[in-house]
Amino acid sequence: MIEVDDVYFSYDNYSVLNGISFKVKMGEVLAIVGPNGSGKTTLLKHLNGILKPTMGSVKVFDIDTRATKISELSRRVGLVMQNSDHQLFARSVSDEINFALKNFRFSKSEIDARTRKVLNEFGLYDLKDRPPLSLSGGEKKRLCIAAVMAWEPEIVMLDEPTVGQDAVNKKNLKEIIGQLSKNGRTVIISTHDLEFLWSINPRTIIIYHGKVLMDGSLRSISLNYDTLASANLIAPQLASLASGIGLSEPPADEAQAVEMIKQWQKA
Amino acid sequence: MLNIIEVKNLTFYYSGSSRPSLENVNFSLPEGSTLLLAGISGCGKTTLLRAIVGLIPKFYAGKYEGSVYLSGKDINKMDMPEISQNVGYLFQNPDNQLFSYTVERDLAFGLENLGVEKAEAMKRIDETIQLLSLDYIREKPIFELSDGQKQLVALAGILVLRPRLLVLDEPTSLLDPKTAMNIINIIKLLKSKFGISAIIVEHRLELALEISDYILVMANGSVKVFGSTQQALNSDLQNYGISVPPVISVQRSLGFNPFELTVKDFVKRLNAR
Repeated sequence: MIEVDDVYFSYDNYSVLNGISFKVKMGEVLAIVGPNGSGKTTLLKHLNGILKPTMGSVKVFDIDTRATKISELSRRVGLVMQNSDHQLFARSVSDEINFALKNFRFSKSEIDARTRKVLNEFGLYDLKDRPPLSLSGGEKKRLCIAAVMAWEPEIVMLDEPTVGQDAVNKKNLKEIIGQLSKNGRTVIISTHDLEFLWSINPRTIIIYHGKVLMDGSLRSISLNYDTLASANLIAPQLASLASGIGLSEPPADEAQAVEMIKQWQKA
Repeated sequence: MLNIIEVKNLTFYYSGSSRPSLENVNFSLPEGSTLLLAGISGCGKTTLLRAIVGLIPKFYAGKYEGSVYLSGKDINKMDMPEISQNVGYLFQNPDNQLFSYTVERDLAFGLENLGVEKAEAMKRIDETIQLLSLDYIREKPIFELSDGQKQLVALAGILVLRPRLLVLDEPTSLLDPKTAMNIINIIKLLKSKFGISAIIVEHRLELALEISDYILVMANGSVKVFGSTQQALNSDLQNYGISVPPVISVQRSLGFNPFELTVKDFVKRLNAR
């Protein structure tokens, strides 16, 4: 459904993407990880057509992004930006959510229903009349995600969704990602937070200097310490715990880790 | 021991709000130690930081009761230049902090404002750029930087002022794990080498525990847990929406106490048995 084929991109003379290729299937959850400045955000902006490749091609739903308008693509590919302040502008939390719905010409009753639904889902109902810029950092982030979820794009891209999010919101976010994927939507997450991703265990692409360095399930790539280190990443705690005591398979969660350690202590 | 910060019976309502954003907050932090400030979003962490650095009540209107002492001195009797020579405050969003054209100009701004001599200013800028490995972007315009780079430059901007207390609102949120770990190590170094104190908001406890002497947990504007890191890890943090890192919860289930704060130390202890 998404096909990135040998894409190069530069801002003026500064090259960011250097021949990157990968495909994403419908309903897949894909994590994009890599060091600061490796091109993650630039890559996301190619998938909804905000940026077009200098060389190579990006096809989304079999449409070349060069052959379509951002307005058409953005209806189907939603992007939640990294910096909430770049996304928020409306006078109230409710208006922020229904702005896009109005633009996409949903009916009045549909707009109200959808706005109410995401306000509740994201714990924003009590804040619905507040000016978005008066919210705390974590609340702003939730609002940005809610505003995109409201129009239910087929592909949802989250750029650093866990920044400023406490444990409760991260758990909530995890459930939303699971729900989206169950409903057949494609979720693409750019993040540094491998601990957050651990229990989701998504397909993970490490990008480095604008190229794919590794592609596989998070658990499988977490065992390659040298590759992780070269991409400024640190193995999640359960992965380094397992390798620290010489287990070949990392535990899927904390309960499994406890069992594995007990077994290990007996042996 | 002298306290770098002492907060006494502090209550604050933002103007127009009928709910207190801070409610009878009390704690003190000994000079040279590090405090991790935790709690769910919207619980009042940033408001407390603003009060500690004097922005509340100076720049935010509202109802203010109680007091904040910085090294024993009432913060409301200090002006902003005096506070900023003692306290370095890193905002949550670096865009709100940076405004000069280049990285080097941004670092020089605060020093010029405080009337630091040019030779001394250049020396401090060089040292800070080296400490944070920013040489490669020294001449770069701020607007060309990535968010992660901006966060490092904003931190550099407060370190050049050589504050006694660092107040850091999610200092690593936009950084990749290795760069985030570097920041944590720099805070550790500043503490051991110069006795600098720090108050840090950080949701990724796996990063912050290692350098925290104390943990303060807030909910609805008031203090729910305050104690040494080991004491706090033994209390019911999940009631306040805080989840401990895997290495701690695994030790809890196995009945280990006191907790090793890093995977490395936990592995060492397991292998020693």
